[in-house]
Amino acid sequence: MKPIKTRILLADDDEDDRLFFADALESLKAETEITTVHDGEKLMEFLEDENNELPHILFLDLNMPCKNGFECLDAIRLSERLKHMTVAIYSTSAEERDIETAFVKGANVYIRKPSDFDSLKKALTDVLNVNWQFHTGGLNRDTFLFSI
Amino acid sequence: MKLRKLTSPSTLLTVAFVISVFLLFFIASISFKQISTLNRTQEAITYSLNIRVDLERLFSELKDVESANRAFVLTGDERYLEPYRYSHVSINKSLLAIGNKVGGNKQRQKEFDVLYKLINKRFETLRDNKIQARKYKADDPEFLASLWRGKMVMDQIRVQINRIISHETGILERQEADHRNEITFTPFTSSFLVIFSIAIFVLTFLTLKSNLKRTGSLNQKLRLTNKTFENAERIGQIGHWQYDLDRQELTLSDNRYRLLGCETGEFEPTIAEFLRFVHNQDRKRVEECFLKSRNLTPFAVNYRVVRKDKKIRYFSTTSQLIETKDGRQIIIGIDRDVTTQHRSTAKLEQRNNELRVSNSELSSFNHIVSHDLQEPMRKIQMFISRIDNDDLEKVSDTSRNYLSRIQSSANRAQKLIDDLLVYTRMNRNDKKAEPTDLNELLDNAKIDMAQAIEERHALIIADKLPTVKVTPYQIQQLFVNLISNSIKYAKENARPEINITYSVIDASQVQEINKPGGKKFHRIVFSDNGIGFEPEYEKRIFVLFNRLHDKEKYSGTGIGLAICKKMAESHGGYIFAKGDPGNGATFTVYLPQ
Repeated sequence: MKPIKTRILLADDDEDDRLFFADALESLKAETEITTVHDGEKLMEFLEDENNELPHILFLDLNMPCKNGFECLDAIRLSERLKHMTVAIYSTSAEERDIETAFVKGANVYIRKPSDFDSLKKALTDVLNVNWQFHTGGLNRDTFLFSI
Repeated sequence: MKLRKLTSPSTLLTVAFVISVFLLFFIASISFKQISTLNRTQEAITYSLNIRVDLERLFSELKDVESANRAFVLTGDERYLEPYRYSHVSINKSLLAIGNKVGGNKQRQKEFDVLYKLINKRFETLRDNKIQARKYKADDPEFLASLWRGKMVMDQIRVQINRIISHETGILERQEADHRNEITFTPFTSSFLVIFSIAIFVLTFLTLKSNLKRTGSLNQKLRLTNKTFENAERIGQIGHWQYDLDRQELTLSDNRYRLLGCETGEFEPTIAEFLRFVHNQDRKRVEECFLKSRNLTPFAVNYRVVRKDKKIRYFSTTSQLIETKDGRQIIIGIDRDVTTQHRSTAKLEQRNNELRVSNSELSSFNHIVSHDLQEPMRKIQMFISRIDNDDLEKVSDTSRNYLSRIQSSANRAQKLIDDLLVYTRMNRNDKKAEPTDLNELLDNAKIDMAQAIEERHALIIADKLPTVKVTPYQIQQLFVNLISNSIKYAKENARPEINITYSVIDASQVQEINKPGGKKFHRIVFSDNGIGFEPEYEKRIFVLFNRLHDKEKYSGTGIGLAICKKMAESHGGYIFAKGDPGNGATFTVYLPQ
């Protein structure tokens, strides 16, 4: 029996970051399948299209053109079909305010974009290893921010 | 209250006046009565005396007649009868006079009637004697009997006259006694009453005088107060007005006219005139406020006024309905010309807005600079980290060296940006001070610094800290920065040790604070065993971007301690540093209690 691949969706407008992310994921040699979108609008189009399979984890950048990460998060949590999706915020910002907002709006985890490749790989490994189905129950503010 | 009312000067005066008038009437009536009594007594005495005199004259006339008759009888000479004829007339006159005087009194009338009859009888006998004396001799018995009868009548007359006289004397004596009584009693009562009246007059006079004096001084005070008030209104650009609700009368103070650019009393003070000066757009509002104040709601309203010279001024009015003692309802209003304040407030608000705009511009500039700079910086680091070690082997030593320098520069830039972000965050206005357990904040700070503490095996020994009203994240950052500072500047070959001690201290005991005593501070001292610094840098160490060491050796950005100073000061506290080169540094934080 072929194991199910973990479907990962990355919404990020930065080409370099998409590249780093894809490279890091590939180097993990995990069974993953990555889809990328360039901005918030495109993300929502993708998610709302019922022909597309929903990702297991959505990595969501906050600062994006057209529709930013928070707006997308709001839309996802309001949608009956999408509201249980695991959302990981993936942003450069270390602002307390952004982290707080993401938590309040219902993101599952907050990852600050690391500044070296190894840290990125480690962060992705950790996130993929969490069994998100059971994780949500014990979610609190302290474990929310992923320390890298 | 009632007592005071009774003894108030005007009541006192009224009472004194009534008493005085009453007394004067009393004195007058008593005097009148006494004088008329005296008059009557006097008259009665004179009357009695007159009757006596008349009676005595009558009796002597009778005696004249008697002696004339005797002489005639003895001599038979008709010449002796001369006085008899005259006295006949004068006796009749006397009798008539007495009869008139006695007229009113019945007792006297009776006595007098008796006397009158006796005198008539005597004259009859005298007539008989005369006739007989011509006819008979002296020894004639009939004649002698007639003479004897005459003598008997005469005796009776004497007795009767004596009786009347003694009767009159009795009356006289009684009246004189009464008179004497009256006379001795009169001066006593009059002088008593006079003294009493004088006393009351003096009392009234004194009261009146002191009242006048008091009224005078009160008047003077009132004039002074009025003048002060008027000047105060003029200087303070204040006017006031009163509106009597019952009489519908409006009174404006002199300065209220002046505030409108008018002469005092230039226009009729009515509500309509009052509102005419209010700016068109504000008139309705002012009128509504005015109506509202009729039901005891004090109102305050700001509005524009168009002065007589068409200049627009800003007024602020406060008014209140009051009730006077006599039950009248009066609205009292104070108007202030607040144009200057209004303009300066407007200017201040404008400046404030400009400042807010420029602040938020600065803040977003700061945010953009630090935030957006992070992206390329992170990517530089990322790309370098992706160069494989195998690839590094292939480039020249110089290039490898350059690559490593690029990496360390990028790291530094990243750190600088991070610190700048923290610094900006501390400037934000979302401070919320709440009672916070500082031990908890210190624990959080240690968690934040866990990696560095672990790496250097740093030892942190802390006293039990108090609970203070602070903005938690700021003080936590302050602790983080101080611990990070101590670890960063630790001696290379020694284990870093940080001692945190706590005490409460009075402001007067701290020389650097330079404040009078009474205010208590929490003193938290961080002392380490690091490399320390020269005492001359004690102040410079807190200035933004100021560094004491070269960046190759110590990776500071010069922001950390500047943040500490900012945090302490934004809590109304202080931070001071003391350095001992080679032995360590001490940072003392004071937070107000």
